[in-house]
Amino acid sequence: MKNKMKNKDFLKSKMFTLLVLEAALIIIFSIWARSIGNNFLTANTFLNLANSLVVTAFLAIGAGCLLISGEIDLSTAAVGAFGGVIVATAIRYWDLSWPLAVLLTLLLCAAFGAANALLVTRFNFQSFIATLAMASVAKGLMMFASVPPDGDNPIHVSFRSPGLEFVGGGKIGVLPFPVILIAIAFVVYGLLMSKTKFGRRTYMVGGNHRAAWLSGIDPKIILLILFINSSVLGGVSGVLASARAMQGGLQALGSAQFTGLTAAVLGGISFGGGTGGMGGAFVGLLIINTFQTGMQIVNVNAFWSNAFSGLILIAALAMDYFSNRAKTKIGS
Amino acid sequence: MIERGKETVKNATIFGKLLRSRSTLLWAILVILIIFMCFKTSTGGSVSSVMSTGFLAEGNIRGIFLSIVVQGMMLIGLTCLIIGGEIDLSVGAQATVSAMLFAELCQSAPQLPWGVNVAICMALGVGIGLIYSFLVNVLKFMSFIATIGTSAVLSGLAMVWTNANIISIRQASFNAMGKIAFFGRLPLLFLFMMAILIVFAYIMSNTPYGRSIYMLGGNRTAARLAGLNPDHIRIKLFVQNSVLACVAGIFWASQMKLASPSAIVAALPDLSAITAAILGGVAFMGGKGNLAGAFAGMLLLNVFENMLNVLRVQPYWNIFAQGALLIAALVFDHISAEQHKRTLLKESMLDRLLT
Amino acid sequence: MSHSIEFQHIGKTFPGVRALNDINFKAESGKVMALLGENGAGKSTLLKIMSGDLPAYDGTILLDEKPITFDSPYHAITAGISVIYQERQVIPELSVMENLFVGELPTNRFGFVDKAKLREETSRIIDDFEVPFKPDDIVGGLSIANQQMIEIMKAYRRDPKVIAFDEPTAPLAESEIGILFKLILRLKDQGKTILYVSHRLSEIFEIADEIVVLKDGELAKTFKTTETDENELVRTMVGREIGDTYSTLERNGKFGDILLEVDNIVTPYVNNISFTLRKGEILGLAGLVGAGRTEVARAIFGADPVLSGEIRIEGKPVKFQKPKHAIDAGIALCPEDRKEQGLVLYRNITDNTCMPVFDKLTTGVFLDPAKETRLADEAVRKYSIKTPTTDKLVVELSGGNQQKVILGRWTSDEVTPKLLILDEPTKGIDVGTKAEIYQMICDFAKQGMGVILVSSELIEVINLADTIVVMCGGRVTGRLPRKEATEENVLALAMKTDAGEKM
Repeated sequence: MKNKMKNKDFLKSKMFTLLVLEAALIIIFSIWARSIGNNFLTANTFLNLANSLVVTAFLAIGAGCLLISGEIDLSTAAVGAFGGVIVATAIRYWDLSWPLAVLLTLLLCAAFGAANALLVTRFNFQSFIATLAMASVAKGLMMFASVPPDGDNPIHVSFRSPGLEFVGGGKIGVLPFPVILIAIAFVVYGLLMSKTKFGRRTYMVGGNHRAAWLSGIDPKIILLILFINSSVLGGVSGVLASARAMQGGLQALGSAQFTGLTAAVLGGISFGGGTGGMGGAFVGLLIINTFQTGMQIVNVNAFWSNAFSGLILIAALAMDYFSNRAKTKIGS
Repeated sequence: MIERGKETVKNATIFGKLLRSRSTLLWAILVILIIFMCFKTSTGGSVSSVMSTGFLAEGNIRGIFLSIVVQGMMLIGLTCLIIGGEIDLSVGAQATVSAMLFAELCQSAPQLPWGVNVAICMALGVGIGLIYSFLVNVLKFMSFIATIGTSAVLSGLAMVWTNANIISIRQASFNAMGKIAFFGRLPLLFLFMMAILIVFAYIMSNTPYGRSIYMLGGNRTAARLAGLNPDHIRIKLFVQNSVLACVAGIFWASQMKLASPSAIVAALPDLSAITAAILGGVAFMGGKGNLAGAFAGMLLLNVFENMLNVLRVQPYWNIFAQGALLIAALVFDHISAEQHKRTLLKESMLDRLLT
Repeated sequence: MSHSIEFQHIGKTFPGVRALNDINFKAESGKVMALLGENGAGKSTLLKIMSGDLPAYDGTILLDEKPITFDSPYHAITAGISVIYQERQVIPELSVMENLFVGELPTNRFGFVDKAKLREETSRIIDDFEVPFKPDDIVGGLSIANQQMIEIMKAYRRDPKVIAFDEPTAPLAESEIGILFKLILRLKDQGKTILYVSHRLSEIFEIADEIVVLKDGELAKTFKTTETDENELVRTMVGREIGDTYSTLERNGKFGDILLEVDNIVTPYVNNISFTLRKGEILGLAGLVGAGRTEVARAIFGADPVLSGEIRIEGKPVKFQKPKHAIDAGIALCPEDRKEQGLVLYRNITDNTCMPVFDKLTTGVFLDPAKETRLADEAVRKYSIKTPTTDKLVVELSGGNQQKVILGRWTSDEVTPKLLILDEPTKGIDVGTKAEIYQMICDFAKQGMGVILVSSELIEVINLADTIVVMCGGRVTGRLPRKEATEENVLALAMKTDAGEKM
C-alpha cells in the first residue's frame, strides 16, 4: 500500500518529468541522427557526454547549493578560469608539485568566495551584483596571472604534469578519472545536502532565513560556507579544464557558468531558495549536455546550443513560476 | 560639533547635498585626470605639443568619443531602468543583434534607404522590450535573471546568424555618418548622443513620467497607493531601454562599418555601464540618481580606461578596476545609507525621550 | 458642496478569518466620524477597502448616494477618497513637493512638470500646515513626524470628498497635533467627510462628532460624542461574553525562584523597560499594536540589540548577540508572525519541528531520520496536530496546527526552555484551538517554565497571565496582578487616557 503511494508520488514528481525529458531527448536524437546517417546510441557518445559533464558538473553543484540557500553566484566561471591559470602558473613558473599547486589554487579561489559572502552578508549587496562585479575582478587577476615572467601580454600558460594529466584525462578501467570524480562529488554533495544537519540548515535558510535565524541557525555562517564552496568548486572546474588541456586557458569555462546555473534551475532548485536537490541538478545537467552532444552529432551549428541554453533557463524559470503558483493555491 | 549635529537634523537637503557632492567630486576627479594626462602623455611642454600629442591627440580623443557614443546610448536606458528599480544585463547583446540586423538589411536589401533599416531595428527594440516587460510583469521574473537568460539567447542567435562571422556594411552615406567630426575631434554621433541624453535627462526630471520612475524605484507600495501603475511604467522603461540599446548597436555599426556578433559585448561589457551609473550616484536599489551623474561616471570610467591605455598599463587592470570600482561604490553607498538611517533612528529616540 | 460615504453590508473574508461582517453606517458631510476598536476589530480592513487596496469585498459603498466600485487605489483617489496610511508611504529620495503631488504632478501645455506651479501650490499647503520645511527639501532628510505630516498633506492636497486618517497622531508631537486638529476642523467646515481612526480616546472626544465602535469585525454601536463618555466606549469596545474557556483552565498555583529580571533596558525601539518573572509564572505583556511589546520580546531573545540596562537569567547577567545564544541559555520564542518569522512554509512538519536541534539528531555525521520522526511524532501526539503524516508541508496546515508545530519545536525531549516567550500565540486561530493553546500555556507554567505572553487580545492576557505589564509608546505604563486587572483598566493604561493616569 505504502509502496503504491510512493510510486504514484514519483510519477507526479519533477524528477520523473525530467527523466522523461531526458529519455525523450535520447530518442529524438537517435532518430534524427539515423535519418542523416549518423549514429547516436554508441558508447562513444556516452563517453563524450560524460566528458562534457566534467567541467560543468562542479559549477552546477556549487550553483545548486547556493540557490538552495536563496543566493546566486555569477562569478564561479571567472574564478574557475582564474584557478585554471594559477594552477598552470604555479606548476610551470613556481615549480610547485601538482598537489601543492592545486591546494594553493583552491585556497586563492576560496578567498573570492569569502569576499562574496562578506559583500552579501555584511554590506547587504544583492548576491547577483556582488558576484558579477567579483567576476570582473577575478577575470582581471586571471589575465594578470597569465602574463609570463618574460613577456607583457597574457597568453595561455601551458605546463607539464603527469599527475594532473591523469586527473584530467586518465582512465581507471574504461572510466575516465574525472567522471569518477564527478560521480563521487554528486554522491557526497547529495548526501551533504539531504542527510546532514548542514544541508538541512541550508534548506531552512533558503526557505525562510528569518525563521531560521530565530531558531538559532546563523544564515551568515551558512552563506559564508556556501559562497566559499561555490568558489572552490569553480576552482576545481578550472583546474580540471587546465588539466585536460595541459594549459591554463584565457577562454576556459566561457559559457559553463550559464550551463551550471541552468542545470540547477532546470533540476528543480527554485530561485527563491529552499527547494530541489542535487539529484535534480544532476539530471538537469544531463539533459543540457545530452542536448548539446546530440546537436553535435546531428551536425547542428554549435552556436545554437548557446541560444538554446538561454531559452532553457527562461523556460525552467517559467515552469518554476507556474508550479509555485499552484503550490500557493493549495496554501491559501 | 553641536552646531553640525543640529545641521544634520535640521537641514533637510542633506541627501541632495550628498548627491551634489558626489557629482562635483566626479567632475573634479575628471578634470584632474585630464590635466594630468595631457602633461604626462605629451611629448613636449609647449601648448601645441600638448594639443597634438598624447592624450589630446586627435586619434586618442576620437577614440574616447567613439566608445562614449555607444556606451552613452546604452547608459541612458539602463540608468532610467535602475532608477525605476529594475536592471538589464543584456544591453550589449541587444545592441549586437540590432547591429547584425541592420548590417544584414543593408546587405540583402541595398535599395532600401538606411533610414528604414534604422526604423526596423528600433521596432526590434520595441519587441524585445515588450518581451522583457512580459517576463517581469506577468511571470514575475527578477529582471536580472530574465535578462541574463535573454542575453544568452540573443548573443547565441547573433552567432548562429553568420556562423560567428562579421557582416560588413557598404552603404556609403551611412558609413560617412560615423566619420563626420567637428574640429577633427567631435563626432556627429557624439552630438547626437548628447542630444538624446539631454532630452532624457529633461524627461527624467521634468515630466510626470520621469518623476513616476523615481517614485516607483523609491517606494513601490507608495507609488501604487498613490495611484501609479507600476506595470505600465515598467513596460515603458523596458521598451525605451531596448530601443536605445538597438540604436547603440547601429551607432557601433556606423563607426566600424561592420557588425560583429561578439565585439560589442567584448568591448563594452554591460557591467561597465552599470558601474558608470553607480559611480555617478545612481542608487542600485532604485529611486535615486540622475543621468548627468551617470554620464559623469561614464566619462570618468572611459578617461580612466584611456589613461591606462595611453600609459601602457595592461588592459586587464581595467577589467579588474571595473569590478573593484563597482564594489567600492556600492560599499560606499551602503555605508552612507546606514549612517543616514542611524541618524533618523537616533532622532526619533530623542523625540521619544523628550515627549 | 456636501458629500457623504455610506457603507452597506460590507464584509471581507481572508483565508480562514472573517475580518469584517455586515458593516453598515453612513458618514455625512461636515462631520468627523471616529472609528474605534481593539486591534483586529477590522478598522484597517475597512480603510483598505475604501482606498481601493482590497478590491474584492462583499456589500456596497455609496459615495454621494451613488454606488461606486474601484479596482485600484487610483480609482479611489480619482473618485475623491483619500486615505492617510499608518505606515508612512513617502518616497524618501524625492522632494516634499513631488511627494505631495505623486501621481498627479501639474504639467504645462508641453506635458512637462510645471515646477513653478508645483512649488507655489506646495508652499500654500505648507503655509496651511505651518510646518518647518520647504518645498524642495528631500523627504528622507526630514524627521519621522514631519514625514507623517507629509502623508497628511498629500491627502489634503487632493482636495478629496472623503478623507480618512489612520492613527495620524502616533508619531506627532503635541504642537503638531494641534495644527492637525485645526486643519481637520477647517476641512470639516469645507464640507468634507472625515473618518478618523485612533486609539487615543481623548483625541476622539476632542475632534469627533460621531463614533463608530467596531468589535471582532462587526459594528458594535454608533454614538454621538456628546452623548457618551470614555467608560461607555471602552465597555463597548471590549464587552463580550466571556465563556467558561478560562474558568476551566488548570492553572499553576505556585511560583519558584526569580527566573528573569529585565532591568531598565533600552533598545532602539523601547525605553526603560523593567520587570521580573518567577519560575512557573505567566507574565502578560499587554498594549496596543506599536506599543513595543514585540520589541521587548525580541530584545530578551537577542534578536534586537540592547543599548543599555541589563537582563539577568537566574541572577546572572546575560548579553545575547543573536538568538542562538538565547536558545543556548534556555529561552525560546514563538514569534508574532508565524508565516514570516516562525515557519519554513514549504518544508514538512518534521523539519520545522527539528530546526533548532539538528545537532542532537545525528548518528555519526548524518541526520538520523528515525530520531527526527520520533521528535516530530512526539509533537504531533502531544499537541494533537491534525495531520496524516509528519511529511506534510507546513503550508498545508491550518493556523492553529501551524502554531502547534512551533510550540512542538520548542518543547520536546531535546529542548525544554526555562523561559518561553509567546508572541500573539492565538492570532488567526479558531476558538477551539485557542482553548487548547491556553491549557498548554498553563501546563508549561506548571512544569516550572517562566512564560511571557504577548497578546493584543486583552481578555486573553487578563485571564491567562498571573501578572500583567501594560505598555504604551515604548514604555511600561502599568503593572497589575490578575486579580486587579479588568479589561477597562488595562485598556485605559494601554491608551494612556485620563482614566489610566488616575490609577
